[in-house]
Amino acid sequence: MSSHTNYLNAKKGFASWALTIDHKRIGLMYLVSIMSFFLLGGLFALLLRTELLTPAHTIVDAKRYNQLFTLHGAIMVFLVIIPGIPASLGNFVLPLMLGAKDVAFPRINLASYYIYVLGAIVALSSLFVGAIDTGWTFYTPYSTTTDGGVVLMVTAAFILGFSSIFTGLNFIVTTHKLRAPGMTWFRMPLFIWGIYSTAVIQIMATPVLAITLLLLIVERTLKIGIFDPVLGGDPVLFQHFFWFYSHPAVYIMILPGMAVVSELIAVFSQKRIFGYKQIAYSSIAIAGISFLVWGHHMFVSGQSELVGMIFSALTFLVAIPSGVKMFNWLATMNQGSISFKTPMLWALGFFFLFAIGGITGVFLGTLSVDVHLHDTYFVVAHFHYVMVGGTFMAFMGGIFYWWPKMTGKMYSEFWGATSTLMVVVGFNVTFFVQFLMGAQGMPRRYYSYLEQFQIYHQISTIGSYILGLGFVTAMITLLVSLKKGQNAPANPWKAASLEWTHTDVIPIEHNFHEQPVVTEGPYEYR
Amino acid sequence: MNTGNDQLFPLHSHFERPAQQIDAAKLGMWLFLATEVLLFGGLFVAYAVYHYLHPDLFKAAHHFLDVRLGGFNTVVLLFSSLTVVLAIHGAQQGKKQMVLWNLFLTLLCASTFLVVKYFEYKHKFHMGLLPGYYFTNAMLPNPDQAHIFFGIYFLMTGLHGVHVVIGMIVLGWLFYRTWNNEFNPQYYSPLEIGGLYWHLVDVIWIFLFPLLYLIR
Amino acid sequence: MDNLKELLAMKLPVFSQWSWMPEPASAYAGEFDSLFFFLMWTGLGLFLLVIVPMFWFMAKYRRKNENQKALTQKDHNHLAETLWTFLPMIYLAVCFVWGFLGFLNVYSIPANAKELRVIGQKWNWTIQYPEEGISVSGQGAVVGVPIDTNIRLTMSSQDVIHSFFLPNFRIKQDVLPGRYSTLWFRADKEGEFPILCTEYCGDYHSNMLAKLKVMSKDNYKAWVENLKNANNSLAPKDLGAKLYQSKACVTCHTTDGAPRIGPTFKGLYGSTTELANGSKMKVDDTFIKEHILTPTKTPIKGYPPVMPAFQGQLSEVEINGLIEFIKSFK
Repeated sequence: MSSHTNYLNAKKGFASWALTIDHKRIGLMYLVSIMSFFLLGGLFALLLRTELLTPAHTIVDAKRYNQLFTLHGAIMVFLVIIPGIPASLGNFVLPLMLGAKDVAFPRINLASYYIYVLGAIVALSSLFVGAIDTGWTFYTPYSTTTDGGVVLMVTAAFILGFSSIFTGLNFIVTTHKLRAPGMTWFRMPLFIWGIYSTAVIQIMATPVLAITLLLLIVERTLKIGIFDPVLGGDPVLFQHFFWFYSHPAVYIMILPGMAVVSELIAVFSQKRIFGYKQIAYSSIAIAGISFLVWGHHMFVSGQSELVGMIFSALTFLVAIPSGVKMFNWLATMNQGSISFKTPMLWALGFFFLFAIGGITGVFLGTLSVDVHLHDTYFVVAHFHYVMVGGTFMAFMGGIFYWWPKMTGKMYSEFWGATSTLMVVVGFNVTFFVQFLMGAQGMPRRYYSYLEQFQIYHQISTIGSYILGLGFVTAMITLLVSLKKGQNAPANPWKAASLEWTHTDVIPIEHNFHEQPVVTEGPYEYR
Repeated sequence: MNTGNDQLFPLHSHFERPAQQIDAAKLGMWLFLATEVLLFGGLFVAYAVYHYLHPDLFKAAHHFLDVRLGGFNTVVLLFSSLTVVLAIHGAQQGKKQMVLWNLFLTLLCASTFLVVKYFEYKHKFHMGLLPGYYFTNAMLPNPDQAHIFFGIYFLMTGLHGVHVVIGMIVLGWLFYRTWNNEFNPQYYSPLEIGGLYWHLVDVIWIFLFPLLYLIR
Repeated sequence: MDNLKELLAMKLPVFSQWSWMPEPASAYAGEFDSLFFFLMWTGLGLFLLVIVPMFWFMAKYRRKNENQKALTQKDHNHLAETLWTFLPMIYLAVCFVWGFLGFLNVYSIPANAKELRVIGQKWNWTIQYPEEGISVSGQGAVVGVPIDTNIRLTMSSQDVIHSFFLPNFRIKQDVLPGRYSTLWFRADKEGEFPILCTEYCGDYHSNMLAKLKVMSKDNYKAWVENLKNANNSLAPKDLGAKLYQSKACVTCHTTDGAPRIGPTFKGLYGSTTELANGSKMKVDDTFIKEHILTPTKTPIKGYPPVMPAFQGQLSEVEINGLIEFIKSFK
């Protein structure tokens, strides 16, 4: 580690971390927490894939299996992917990229981390009072009548919502008010545009989820009859409320992934990003339209055909900005100087998997086709392609990209590349076959299944082991670099944005020695 | 603005100019208020859906709410918004006593509101007009569903009540800081921001009052 | 659970192991497949359209030495950007219209359709035939329908949300508590096709299987007659054993003394049991009948009140059969 004073060694001791208001340290603490929960959620995934090796009982009983997939979903959605990129990478990078000393409200930033930890503790404590078995969607009236720690898990999601709101609020204000002199809106790196759009969705959608979950808690404890038909309520209203948040939440998950990839493709092609404004506006467009498509989760729930038609049309509309980004990335690579360092490999993996995820999304937006595919493994495969193949690949790419800035260390390129390859291969083996079995009619959330599906399940399970091993390899590669890695230069990738050009190898506590002044865009490679 | 009054304005180290810090804080508060509105928005939607499903029930049930008490509370909250504005006005002119008195009056209004609410709740508890399970009143036309109105009533007013309490904590903290001479004509933005929050609490009540008490 | 093994061995007809769609059993399913394969091939085309250039650029423009610069820094092309924004709209509009037309087909129910009523409950389907005055139910229930006849399903749920899925017909619809939903189909192929529940509904969600049996019109008539007579000719205990399987009692009640969600039948008859309200009762014929028809009225201590009510679904003959069956496990 460099002998200079930097944010890592400026202050020492447990309290200097636990009470830090430095956005970089908070970002790192988020990163460690999120990755730990990722490993836990991944472990649950491997257990349930193992259970599915045979059509009936393999290692656990039906109740345990239902708890496993619920926990896997809830942990991955609420504790890993939603906070994922914004809270960890966003916290670390956003002020650096803007040329700011910190986020606008550093103490609220720290508070949001502890609210996250509190939410995580409440979520995990539901394991001890009888794990929840409703699926992460908490559909009523099942969730109002089943036993187990539903109230605890829902409370956890409620608490985590506040963490998300605080983070989003901080990012919006920081972007508006703390840009360095000369940093105009169109000189901001696209990462900021993506995170900014995400933050807008976070603060607009999360309160609706919060109130929905509050209603669910009150429904369970006081039986007020909002969602339970026995008491005069309407179970479908819950789905409307839930997806009004949770569909935009899908874009809370994917927009930051796209934001990271925009950076990676440009830097590792050493070429100005193609269609900067189009990508920036498409992020905003996605954020806007994402609020109008929630009904496509409910084509078969009994809503009217007219409503179904409107939601289907709007759903197709949201596909366009995503497609636009893909084409712009391609055009950026064209005639570039493409280097295959580990972060770029993750980005290319993203490109490949997200293309499949996006195209299969068209199937699901098509009304009649969705009727058949709804709630089958086709859907499971589709959203894993988007959430893991998209968001999580980008997340890993981002970690590998900013790792030298966070820690001052370079990792082994060989092991970085190997882990990427394992993840891409393992991922496709796991999930591609799920498209096939879903189309053939294999419903999701099935503990036992018709024998003829066994071969697909077995392939999928084997793939999941490769996938898991790939992620573990990637993490070990990073951890080993802390001990054995070479010292990084200040700008190993020849990037042109402020966090690389104007900081020390490891940034100092207040980021910059002197206030940077911006005179050109973030992608001027020389 | 950055000259001469550095001691008067406690600038956080990551801001360059006082105006930047004030703007950031205000923008942050406005965004937070937007999330609050959306939070209540969910309840307003639930209200609209059930009002649509059971219009007669809602009409019948609202007769159990006391319009006079609700109206009184509305006036009290409106008056408290005025006193908050006066407190900020006082801060701008550096009149500490004026700030303290107006904050005190605001807190007094908030307490009055809660006391009246307490008696309203007590009356409903007494009559068995409780949410869900605990609903025991037999005077309404269809008791198996009448509890829905009161479920929504208690949720909306309860959540609003929680906001009143939080608002009182904020006002109390501002009172303490004023007492400690932390504010001056250059630096009083916490008062402005706390005031914004208090206005929101009032505005929400202004929507709740007609929806719950004055249904036609 | 032998019953489960039998259920899982049920065959879902597919063209071949590696084909995308299960064998269609209605004209609508055939139309559906043309749209699905349209999406499939155009999707593959789109995928290649972005992936082939990606690999091409990766090969052609790879950095060969450390200081290699990009060939150009050109960062916009108005025509290209306009094209890739608007051309996809045309493609998506085609998908939208085609999908919407199919969707209308699923939900526009022909006027002359024969009505069946479907009741979903944890964890089996009951299908009532109002015209014939029969009903079938239980895990693995065989639902007979005549070929080339419009069938309309009017569906509701007794507890949580379920979803009625016929993969070979490419249709599904959620089955909700507190309201009715409908679905229709017209089978044009004889055979047995699985009915699956696709909305997660609890522990034995995946056992909520039944079988749709499409028959010629004559065979259907015979099947109905047979069903009407079948239950009356069995010995009571055997009828009880049959119902124990078909009404899914087996899901929660064992006969060997092992505890499950409900009390075991072994030694149950004649024993004294404690109710949730603290009173004690002897398990006799009346007690069993009451607890089959309206089990949640007087729940038994130590067991969750989750048993579905069979009020209106069992005849006196069938109840007697079940009582004899329970009696036989001393």
